[in-house]
Amino acid sequence: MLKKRIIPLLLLMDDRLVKTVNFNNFKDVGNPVSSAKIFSNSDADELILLNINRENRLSSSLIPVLKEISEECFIPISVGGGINSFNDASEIIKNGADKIIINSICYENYNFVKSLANKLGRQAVVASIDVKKINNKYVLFSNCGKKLNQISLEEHISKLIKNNVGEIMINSIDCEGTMSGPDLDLVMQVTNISNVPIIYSSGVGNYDHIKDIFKISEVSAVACGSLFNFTDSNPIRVKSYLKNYNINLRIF
Amino acid sequence: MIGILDLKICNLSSVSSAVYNLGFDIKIIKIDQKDQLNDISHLIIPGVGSFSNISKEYFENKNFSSELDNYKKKGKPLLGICLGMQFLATEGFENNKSKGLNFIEASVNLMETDNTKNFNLPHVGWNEINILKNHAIFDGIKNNSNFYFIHSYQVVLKNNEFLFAETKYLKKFPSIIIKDNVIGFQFHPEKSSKNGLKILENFCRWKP
Repeated sequence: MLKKRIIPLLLLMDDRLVKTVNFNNFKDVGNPVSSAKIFSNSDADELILLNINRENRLSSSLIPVLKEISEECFIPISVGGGINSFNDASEIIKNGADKIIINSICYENYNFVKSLANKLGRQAVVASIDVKKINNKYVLFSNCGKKLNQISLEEHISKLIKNNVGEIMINSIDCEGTMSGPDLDLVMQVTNISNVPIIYSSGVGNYDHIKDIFKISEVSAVACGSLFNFTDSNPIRVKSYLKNYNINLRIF
Repeated sequence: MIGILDLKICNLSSVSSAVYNLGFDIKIIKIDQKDQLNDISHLIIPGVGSFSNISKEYFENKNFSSELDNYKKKGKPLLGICLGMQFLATEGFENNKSKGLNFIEASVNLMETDNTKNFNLPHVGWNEINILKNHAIFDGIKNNSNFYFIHSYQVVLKNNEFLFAETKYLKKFPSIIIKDNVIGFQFHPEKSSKNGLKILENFCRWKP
């Protein structure tokens, strides 16, 4: 049986690691390569690197950091932020990534998901979705949370799956960086409609939050940024806590 | 010195960084060049891609295939990773029927799944290996340790004598096969954190 995953989420601004709140308020939190090494040595199951630089959306700007990380961290690495061509994706893969995370391009061209899945294999294609609750409904945003999309969450997910997406990563803009708890309704909704693995991120501030996400839904992975950047937590401690709740994790 | 075979169809950087980080010298073996296997002690065939592609690329280079046969006959250690392990088999059925190295009698078929959320293909993620027999390759590796898998096809052995570890994903499939000086890992040791580095180091120190 496949293990549930704990994934440190690394947001990158040029060659620095940053952390945001509600997709804003950038705070420098250190060197991404050193942090990645520490996470990978403390039993992280995977790493996610995202370029969140608003000015420089070129995915090529991620490559120097990615290359260094992939030479030192021997776990799967997923990379995203500004990827919108097969060339971008293949450069990222050549430099040590295992999976490509795409977001804004999906709304413009669902076929891109399919062609990427054909060329790289569907396991290498992760679609990330940013949502905000407006009038009690989930509304989808792209372009770093700036562009509102008309399509519904259900329809977007079903189109992604039809186009052979490998995994879906779901982020709540309302919860992101707040550490005040995940949006459990969102987690449940998404895991109920998707038959591909779901990675949930946003709002995790303690171990009980992670336990709740795994207990309430069939989510495959939880990605955490603030929890690992601002507290003395690491994946080892998360896993030893969750072990008490019979969650199927990779302990050794 | 550890040789890593470059079949021109996949990315070698993670495997070479892992072996290099363990403290071994590495040499990238180009399939279209001659006399490269003499000065290496161990050879790794990494693999990402499809069986039919690897088969086409390999058998187009006749000189290399006879050099590899010689290398194997000398009893020097050979490791196939993921598609590299599948290529050790007699034949594969990905895309179309194509020839493998036939170093271990087996075929390569699509894995059986039920297409539910829990058992979709590809089989991707961390899963346990159940060790069935003792071998130097398992030095320091606990039974039911986790490794990182990513594949849709699996090896089907003709003879279970060569089955050393198996993994369950709906059904059991071979995750480590060994015959004499030839080893295959279905998982990616270069992506399997501490366990992966340990088993890769065991291979690099292995004297069959």
